[in-house]
Amino acid sequence: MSRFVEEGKVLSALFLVVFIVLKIVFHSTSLFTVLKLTLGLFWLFILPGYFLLYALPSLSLIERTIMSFILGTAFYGAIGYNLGLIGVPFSVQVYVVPLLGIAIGGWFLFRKK
Amino acid sequence: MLAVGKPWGGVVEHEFPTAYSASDAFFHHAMTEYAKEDGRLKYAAPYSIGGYDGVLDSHPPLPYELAASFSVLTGMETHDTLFMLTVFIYLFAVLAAYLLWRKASVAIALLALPFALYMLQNRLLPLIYWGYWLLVPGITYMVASFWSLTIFDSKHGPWIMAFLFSAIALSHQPEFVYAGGFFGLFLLYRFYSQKKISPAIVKKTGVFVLVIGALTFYSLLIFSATFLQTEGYRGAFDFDIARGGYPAFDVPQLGWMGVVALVGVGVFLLMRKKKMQLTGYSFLYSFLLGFLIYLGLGKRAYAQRLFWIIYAAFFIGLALYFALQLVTKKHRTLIPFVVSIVFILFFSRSLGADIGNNRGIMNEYDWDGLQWIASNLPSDAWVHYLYSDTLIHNAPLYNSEHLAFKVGTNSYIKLIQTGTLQRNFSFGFTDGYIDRIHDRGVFDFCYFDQNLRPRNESFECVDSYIRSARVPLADARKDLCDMEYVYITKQTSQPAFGQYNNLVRDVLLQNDWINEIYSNALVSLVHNTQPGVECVNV
Repeated sequence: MSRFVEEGKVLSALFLVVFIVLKIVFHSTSLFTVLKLTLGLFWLFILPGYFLLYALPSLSLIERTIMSFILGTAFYGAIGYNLGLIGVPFSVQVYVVPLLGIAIGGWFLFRKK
Repeated sequence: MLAVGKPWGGVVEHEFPTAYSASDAFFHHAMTEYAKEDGRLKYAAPYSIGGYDGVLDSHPPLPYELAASFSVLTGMETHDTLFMLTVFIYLFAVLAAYLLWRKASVAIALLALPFALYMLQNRLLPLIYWGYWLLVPGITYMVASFWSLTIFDSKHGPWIMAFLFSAIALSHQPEFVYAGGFFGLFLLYRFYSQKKISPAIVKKTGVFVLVIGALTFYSLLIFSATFLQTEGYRGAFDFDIARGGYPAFDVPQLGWMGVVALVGVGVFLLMRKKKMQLTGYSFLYSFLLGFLIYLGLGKRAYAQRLFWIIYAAFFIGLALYFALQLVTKKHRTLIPFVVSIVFILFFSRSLGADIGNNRGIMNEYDWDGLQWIASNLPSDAWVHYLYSDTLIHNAPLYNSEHLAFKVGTNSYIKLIQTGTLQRNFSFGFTDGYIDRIHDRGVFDFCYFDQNLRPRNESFECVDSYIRSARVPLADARKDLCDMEYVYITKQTSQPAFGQYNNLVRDVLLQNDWINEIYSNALVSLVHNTQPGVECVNV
C-alpha cells in the first residue's frame, strides 16, 4: 500500500506540473478546457506509459517521467491502429488501450517477486 | 511549447486550422478527420483519391491515430489535436535526447540542453508549420529508441524497445531503417566485445523482432505495396532535387555551433570513455545520416539535417564541459547548471521572436465555404475553384469533402492578360495519392485504375502496381458553361485575380438557371443547374 501512496503522490505532482505548464502555454484558455486537455493527455498517453515502465524498475524518476509520454504515445498508436484494422472503433479504443497499458503496468507493480 | 502557444495566441481550440502554413499540414489533417469520421484508421478519404471508396491509407498511421483518438476523447477538433500533439512530440524529441545525454553526464546534458532551442530558429520552423508531421514523430521515436538500448539487458527491456521501434515504423519508415541499422551495429559491437553470441541476447533480439513484426506487419505490408515502389532508393544526386522541398540546411548553417560541435567530436573520440559511447556514437551516427544524400538517398537523408542541432548539441555540451574543466574542477554540476540557465535565457529571448504570430493560410470565410460544401452538396458533386490566395494548394480543398479541381494559376494569368472573358479554363485535379491500393481480402490487394470514379463505375481493379495517370483532358479543361459548381473568391491579394473572378461570376449569374447558393464576404458558390447549356451572352 505504501508503494501505491508513493506512486500516487508522484503522479499527482506530475499532473499538477503538466496542468500548470499547459495553462501557461494556453493562457487565454479556460481552466476547464486546460483541465480537459491535461486529463486527456494523462489518460491516453502518460498513465499507460508510466505504468508500462514499471516493467523497468531501475529507471530514474526523470527517465520514467519523460519516457511515459513517449512510450505512452507509441503504445497507444501501435495497439490502437491494429485494433482499428480489426474493426474496433476509436470510441472503444480510447478506453480499452489505456486500460490495457495500465493493467499490464499494474501487474508489474503489484506482482509478488 | 512556444511553437504552439505563440501562434495560437494562448488559445487551444479554434474554429478552423490555425498556423497551418502549407499543403502537407492540411493533408495530414484531412486524413485524420476522415479517420475520425470513419471511426477507425484504415481507408483514405475518397475525395483525396478520385472519389474511390475502399482505398487503403498508405501513409504511416500513428500520428493520425493519436490525433483522431485524442479528438474523440476530448471533443477537440482534429485540426487542433493533430497540430498540438505534433508540437508536444517535437518537444519530447529534445527531452529524449536529454535522457541520452544524461547517460553520458548530467553536466554535459545541462550544457547541451539550451542549444536545442535553436530548433526554433526561422530556418527550421517549417518543420512545424509546413506540416512535416510524420517526420517529427519518426525522429522522436528514433532518438527514444537509441535511449532504449540502455534497457536492452533488462528482463522486459526488449518489449519496451519493441514498442518504440514499432512507433518509428508507424510514423516515418526511413527512421525505422536508420534505427534498425544502429541496433544492428549495437549488436555487432556486443558480439565483438563479448567474443560470443550469448543465448540471452539471441532470445531478447527474437522477442524484440517478433513484437515489432506483429505490431507493424500490416502497415509495412501496405507501405511495401505503395510508397516503397516509388519512394525507395531515390538516386537523387542533384542536391536541390535531393532536398525535396525541405528547408535548406547545410553545414555552414550550424555556424559557430558547428565549430564547437566539431571540437566536441574530437574530445569524444580522444576521451574514449565507456560511459559516453552509446550517447556519442548514436548522435554521431544520426548526424552522419544527413550526408547520405551523397549516396543518392535524397530527401530521406536530407531530413536528418533538419535535426542536426539536436544531434550536435551533445558534442557542443561536451566541448563546453571540457573547456569549463580547464578553468575549474570544482562544482562539476552546479556551474554547468548556472551556465545552462544563462544560455536558456539568452537564447529564448532571441529565438522566441522568430516564432512570431503565424496564423497560417486558412481564414474563416474560406473555411465556412468549404464546410458548407461538405454539408450541403451532393456527395458525388465536383467543384471547380477559380483563383484563391488561400486555396492555391490541393490539400486545403479536402475540407470540402468533395472532388475538387482548382484552376491552373499560370493558365489563369494568360486568360486575364487577354483582357476579355474567356470560356475555356484549365484545371488541376487535387489528387493526393500516386497509387490507389484496395483490399479485396486481408492479404489480397489490387490497384484501382486511375480515372475519376464518376467516369469509372466499373471499379476496375488490377493486380499489378500502377501509378496515377494524368486526369483525362475532358476533366482538366472545362468550358465555362460546363461546370456545375464554381467556387469564386471575390477578393485576392492581387486585384486582377479577384476582378476576373468577379467577371466570371457576373456572367454566370446573368442566367436564370445559374444561382448563387452560398455567399460570404469573400466567397461565392455558384450552381449551374443546366451544365452544358450555352451561358455566355444568351
